[in-house]
Amino acid sequence: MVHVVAPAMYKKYKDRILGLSNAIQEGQRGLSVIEIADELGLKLEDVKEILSVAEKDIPLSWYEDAERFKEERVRASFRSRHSRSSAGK
Amino acid sequence: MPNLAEAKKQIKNFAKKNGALITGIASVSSIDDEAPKGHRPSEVLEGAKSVIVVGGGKINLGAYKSPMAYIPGYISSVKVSGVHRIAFKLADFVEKKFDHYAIFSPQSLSGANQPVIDDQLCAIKAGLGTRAIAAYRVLNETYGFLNYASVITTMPLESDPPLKKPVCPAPECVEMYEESKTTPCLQVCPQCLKAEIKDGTIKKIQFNRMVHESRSQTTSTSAFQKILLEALNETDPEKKKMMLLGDFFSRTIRSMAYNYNLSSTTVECLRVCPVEQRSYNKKKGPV
Repeated sequence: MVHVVAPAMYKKYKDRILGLSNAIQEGQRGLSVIEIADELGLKLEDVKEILSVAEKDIPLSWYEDAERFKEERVRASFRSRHSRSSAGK
Repeated sequence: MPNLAEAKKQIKNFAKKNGALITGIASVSSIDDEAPKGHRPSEVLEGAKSVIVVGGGKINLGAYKSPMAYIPGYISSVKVSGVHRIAFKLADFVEKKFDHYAIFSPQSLSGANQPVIDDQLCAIKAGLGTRAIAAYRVLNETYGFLNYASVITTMPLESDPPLKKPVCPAPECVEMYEESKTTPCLQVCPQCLKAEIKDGTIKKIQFNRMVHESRSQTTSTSAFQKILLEALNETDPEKKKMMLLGDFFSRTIRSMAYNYNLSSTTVECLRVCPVEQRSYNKKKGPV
């Protein structure tokens, strides 16, 4: 049986574990799961599970928005390139 | 066995012949000092002394010019695999030729996004570039943004020194920041990136890898898990069918089957980087 963290434990530690990890990097490096487990006094296997779930616990709409973002950026890049080449004519 | 200086030359030549654009060597101790516990080269290979870092797999200029938004991510993912293959071969070469243990360091073996060792940190320590604001990646003055892969070895090779002068920010970015408190990359992706530049150097970077991951690996394993979870929770069988047979999920499956978009980066902040643009103009890259 795979190790599953209790939802209550996940909710309790999700934000703290994400905050300590490298999910958002700000100058100094994030902690590894071993270091996070030491820091919070948790079992390594629990930290691994919580981080694995937490990193993916984002709205599905982010992925859909990402597609729109990239399409818009490509269009913007083409617009600016074409306006530069028209200005150069 | 040749002496270590000669061996280093042979290793770099081998990497070059197999497609690496640049190769650098860092001491394990220099990486161990900064890497988090569990991700230090000495923890991956007992007795490790050196990390050989190969850089290559530069995205084709055509991918930047394509009006199809999916193209760069797909190409980038395949290019990453190419650099991994170079490192695989290099590990074999070191073992056979020099009779030292060597292993290619894979990207991630855990459920979370935790690479076995940080190839970008290794590249910095091996003098191949410095940290850039864009995608928090390593920027090389000549080649711009490359993909990196590492070989950890027990061979005590002479290290290449880290660069003293940061490549990022480029002078035009410093000028832009002084005028408008932004740079081309920050302007493109303020959701992923925040940075502060002071006296021409980066004082602070904030990189939101979770936002970045949804943008760079849009139809990747995480997206697959997210849609699958949503479909499992869906009680209407007809709606479930639409979700699982629809365009987005189908592309996600295809990405996983053909290694598209699995380890790529979003190129939007890279394509506007002046150093990256110059790297193509110089015609020193593969384009």
